[in-house]
Amino acid sequence: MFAGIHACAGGLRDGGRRPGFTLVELLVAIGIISILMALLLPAVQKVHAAADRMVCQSNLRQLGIALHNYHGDRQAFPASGWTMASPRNPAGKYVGWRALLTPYIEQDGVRALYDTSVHWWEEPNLSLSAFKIRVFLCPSTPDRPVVTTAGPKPPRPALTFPLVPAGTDYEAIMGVARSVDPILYATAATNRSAMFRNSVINLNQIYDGASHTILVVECAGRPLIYRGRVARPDLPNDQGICWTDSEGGFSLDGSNQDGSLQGLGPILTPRAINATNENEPYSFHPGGANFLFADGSVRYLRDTIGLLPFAALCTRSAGELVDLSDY
Amino acid sequence: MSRNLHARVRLAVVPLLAGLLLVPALACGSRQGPPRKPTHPVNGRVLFEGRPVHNALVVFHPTGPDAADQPPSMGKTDHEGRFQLSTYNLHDGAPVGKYAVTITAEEDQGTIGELPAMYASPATSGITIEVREGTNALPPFQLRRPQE
Repeated sequence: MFAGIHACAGGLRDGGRRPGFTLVELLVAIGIISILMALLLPAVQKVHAAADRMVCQSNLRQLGIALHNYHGDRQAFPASGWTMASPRNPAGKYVGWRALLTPYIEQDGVRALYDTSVHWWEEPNLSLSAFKIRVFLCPSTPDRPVVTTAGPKPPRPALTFPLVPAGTDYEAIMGVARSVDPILYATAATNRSAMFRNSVINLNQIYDGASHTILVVECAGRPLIYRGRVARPDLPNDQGICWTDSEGGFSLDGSNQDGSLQGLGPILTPRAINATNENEPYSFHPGGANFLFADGSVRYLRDTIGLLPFAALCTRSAGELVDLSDY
Repeated sequence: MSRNLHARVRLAVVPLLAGLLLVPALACGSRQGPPRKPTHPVNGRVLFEGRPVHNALVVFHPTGPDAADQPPSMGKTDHEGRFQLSTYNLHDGAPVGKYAVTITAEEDQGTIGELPAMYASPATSGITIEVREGTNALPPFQLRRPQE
C-alpha cells in the first residue's frame, strides 16, 4: 500500500506525462463557475420575485374591477365589514367585503353557499372559509402554518374551525389613526378611507381624488404575525384569520423600525409599510408593497415612503397634498 | 521599491476608507428639524364615568410660545387606563411647559363606546396641564358625558 503511493508520487515527479488537469487548473475552473453561479442566482431570485409581484398586482387589479362592478350595482363600495343592521345588511350580521365580492370574481358558487343571515363565524360560513380563493392570495407569502383555532374578539367567541381556513393577503384600509396627526385626523370626517365598518361610500365622496385614495392594501401572512421578516407565532392575533373574516380591516398606525411599537406619531413610529403585518400594510415583496387605489389602478409603493405622505393616501377627504411620483 | 509602493498605496487607502466611513456617520449625526428639548417623565390615568378606558390615545398639544417647534407628546392607555407619555423616545415624557390635552378612543371599546367628541379637540377638551421638572404623576383625567 505504501509502496503504491510512493510509486504514484514518483510517477508524477518523473515529468507528469499523465494526461489531465493540474490542481490549479481545476481550482480556477471551479472558481470561475462559482463566480458565474453567484452572479446568476440572485438574478433568478429577482425574476421569481418580480413574477410574484406581477401576479399580486394582477390579483389586486381583479379586486379593483370587482369593487367597481359592485359599486356599479349598488352605487357604493362595500364596507370593510358589516357589524349592524341597515338596508344594505338587513340581517345585521358580521359580513366581510371579500364575501360580498365573490360574485364579481367568478365565485358565484361560493356566494350561493355563503349565508349573510348568520355571522361569518357561524355555519355554513365557517366551513366555507376553508375554500381557497386564489385572487385573495399573494404568491410571495410563505406557506401558512395550519391554524384551526382563533382567540375571541367580542362579540365573536373563540373559534375552532372544522376545516383548515384559507387565509387572505389583501385587506381594506379603513383610514388613519389619530396619532399620526392628532389635529388633522381628529374626527371621522378626515381620518376615514372609503371602506370602513358599515361604510356606504361612493366615488363622489372621495374628495381627495380616486387616484390618491387607497382602497385595499397588502397585509400578507396573517393570521401568523410577522415583525420585520421574522415570523412570531408567540404573538396572539385575533384579526384577519381567514378570507371570510369581516374584522380584518384596520387603520394605519405607523410602527417603529422593528414593528414592536405602533401608533405613537411620526417621530416614534415612522414606518408605514413592511414593518409588521399586525394590522399594518405588509408584504413579502422586496422593498415595498402593492396597493389598490379607488380609481382601480394598482401601484407599487416603496417602503421608504414617509408616514405622512402614506397617511394622505389612506384618507378620502382630509385634503392633504401628495405627489405620487415621488414614491 | 515594492515596499515603497505598498506604503504609498496604504497612504492612499487609509484616508479613503476613513472618508467612506465618516461621511455616512456625519450624515446620520446631523438631525433634521428643530432642536430637541429635555423631557421629564409624565404618567396618568384616564377614567370615563369612573371606569378605566383601555387603548385610548392621550395627546399633549404644546401651547407655549415655541409650540410650533415641538411635536405633540402621546401615550396609550393600558387595561387599567394608565399611560406614560412619549415625545422623542418611548416613555421619555414631555418637555417642561403648558399643554392642552385631547383624549380619544377607537370605536372598538366594547361597553364604553367612543368617548365624547369634545375631548378630541384641544380647543374644546377643557383639559390643560403644566409639565414641570422631575417626574409628573398627574391626577386621573375624569371624563364625563357632556351635560345636555
